[in-house]
Amino acid sequence: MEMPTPECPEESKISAALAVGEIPAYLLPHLSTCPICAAIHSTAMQMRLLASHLAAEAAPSATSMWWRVTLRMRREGVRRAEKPLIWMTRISCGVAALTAALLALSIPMPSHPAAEIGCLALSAVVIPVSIILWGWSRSKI
Amino acid sequence: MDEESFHAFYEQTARNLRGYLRSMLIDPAMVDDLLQESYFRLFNANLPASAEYGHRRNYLYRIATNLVYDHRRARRLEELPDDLAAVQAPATAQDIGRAFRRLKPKDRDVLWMAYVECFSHKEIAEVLRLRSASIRPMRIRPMRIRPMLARARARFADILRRRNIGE
Repeated sequence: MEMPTPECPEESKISAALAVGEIPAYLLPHLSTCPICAAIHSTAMQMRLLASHLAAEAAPSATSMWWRVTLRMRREGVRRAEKPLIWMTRISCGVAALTAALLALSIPMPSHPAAEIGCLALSAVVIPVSIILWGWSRSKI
Repeated sequence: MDEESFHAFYEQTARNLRGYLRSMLIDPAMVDDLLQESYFRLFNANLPASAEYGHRRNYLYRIATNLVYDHRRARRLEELPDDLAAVQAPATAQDIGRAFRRLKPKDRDVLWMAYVECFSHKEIAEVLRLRSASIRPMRIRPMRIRPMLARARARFADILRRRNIGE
């Protein structure tokens, strides 16, 4: 069973005073005698020292951050708008490749070799182009 | 949020938030990346224009805290090596920073939010509630923050004492 945390009735006043950055004079005697409030005060001072040290490093300017954030918002918007087009491209490529393959298989092969070559050439062009377009669409997402 | 209100909000929050990220991350290069990501996600969240400054700030810290934890999980970052010699020294910011980094992430969070950002216990509970990796957000009640703070203070003081860092 967890031991209850020791409490001090002035703890909230000390915390509130630390938040505004100044301990009122009437709390100073208490601070020197109460270990709980002294620990709070000590920790707060150490944390403030650390924070001011870290805050000394320059942050990007507000203008620069605004520019980066809005540019990224625009890019995300373009990506979202492109997605349906990319999926349509993929579906079209798939259908075109399937059609070409079925066409090549289903047309009764005429005896003339030129017709055979023509069907094979059609498949040889459509299918690779479909694969290339499919690859392009994958690179966009 | 329009540009003017963004500028005002950024000026009020960026330095401390960057300090918070800086205190949490080993890799300084990641600090500005996560800073930008935090503001981007806040901007993308489309909080209502009537949202108060405190609410936006809490949300921003919630985003930043989650980003830090995601970054740590992804990188499996290890703790900083304990390379300090045990010598009596005044508590410089760097000494305090090293001791601070030895704390567990949760302890660092509560100490920073309570004593740097001066969040109320309720605000700290709100910021921390989505830290859990579980599907349901872990609800932390504000009443639990006080003992969490007390434990974090005790651990921090213990680390400082072991390093013989004066107060």
